[in-house]
Amino acid sequence: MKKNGILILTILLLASFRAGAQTIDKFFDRYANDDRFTYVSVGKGMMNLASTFGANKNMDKNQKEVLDRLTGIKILTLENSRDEKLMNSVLDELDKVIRAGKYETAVRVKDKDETVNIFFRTTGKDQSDMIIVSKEKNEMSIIWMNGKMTKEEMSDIFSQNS
Amino acid sequence: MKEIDDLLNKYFEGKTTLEEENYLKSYFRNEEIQPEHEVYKTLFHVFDEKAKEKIPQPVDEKNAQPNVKRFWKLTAVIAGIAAAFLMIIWVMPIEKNQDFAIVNGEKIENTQFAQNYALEKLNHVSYKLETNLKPLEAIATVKSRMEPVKKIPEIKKEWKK
Repeated sequence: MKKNGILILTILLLASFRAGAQTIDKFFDRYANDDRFTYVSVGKGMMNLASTFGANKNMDKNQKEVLDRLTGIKILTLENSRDEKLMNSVLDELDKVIRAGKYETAVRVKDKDETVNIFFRTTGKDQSDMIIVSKEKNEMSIIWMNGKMTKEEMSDIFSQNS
Repeated sequence: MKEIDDLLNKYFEGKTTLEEENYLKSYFRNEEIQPEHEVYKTLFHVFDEKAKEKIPQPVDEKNAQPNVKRFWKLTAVIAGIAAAFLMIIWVMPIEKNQDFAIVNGEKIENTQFAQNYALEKLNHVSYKLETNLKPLEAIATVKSRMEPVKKIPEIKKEWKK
């Protein structure tokens, strides 16, 4: 009886852990098949992306290594949309995910109708998640990157590159 | 034959002894049966057949218990293994191609397309950050250029000496 209790408790703990980890996943899954959005997932072959990115931007060796340590990039884009209501509802939902996931704000940039917000969190030893929300008048992109790197290393992808 | 008739009457009245019944049985086992007794032959053969049948042994609860226990133990082990497999499948997602795009609800499994799209978006964000964070860069440049100015008081002190 005691053993059963421990087993059930373990299963519940694992389930809650997995449910927590899936929050941002669920958000992307929800809109991935929505006709109004373009969804892109890049997992393997990140090295190809790193080399292309590096070739275009004169990326140094360290930055290439950082990009190669990314385990996944997911992008959700709403293009040529004048549906402000939809944009706001998606952003509200994302905001809840960010709060629930205890992400910290890394960068907030606002220029006229354009905003770029970057959120970051560490999920384990050197395991990090970064969410970039880029919003323009008729376009919105949500980029979710995760990988084995520190906050500084992940920020380097943009800061040193720009 | 009178004796057999009497015994048969006694038998059907339920008054025969075991010895008398055995005598009747042995008589009907014999092939030399009187024609008037043929009708009873089948009856006594049935009794013989029944006597040969083995009576099932009553279930000994003490012996049966370990089997039941073993069944549940085995079930628990199998269930445990199955649960472990399910947990592994559940916790560790199956490796699949992660490079794809879904445009207008249509899945495009083209690695190059997915990577180019991701690259385009990353460049776009990078450009926006570059443009908007330029003033910060300027501040950093001014700060670094001001470093020698901070050393002026120290230089002055040394001059006075």
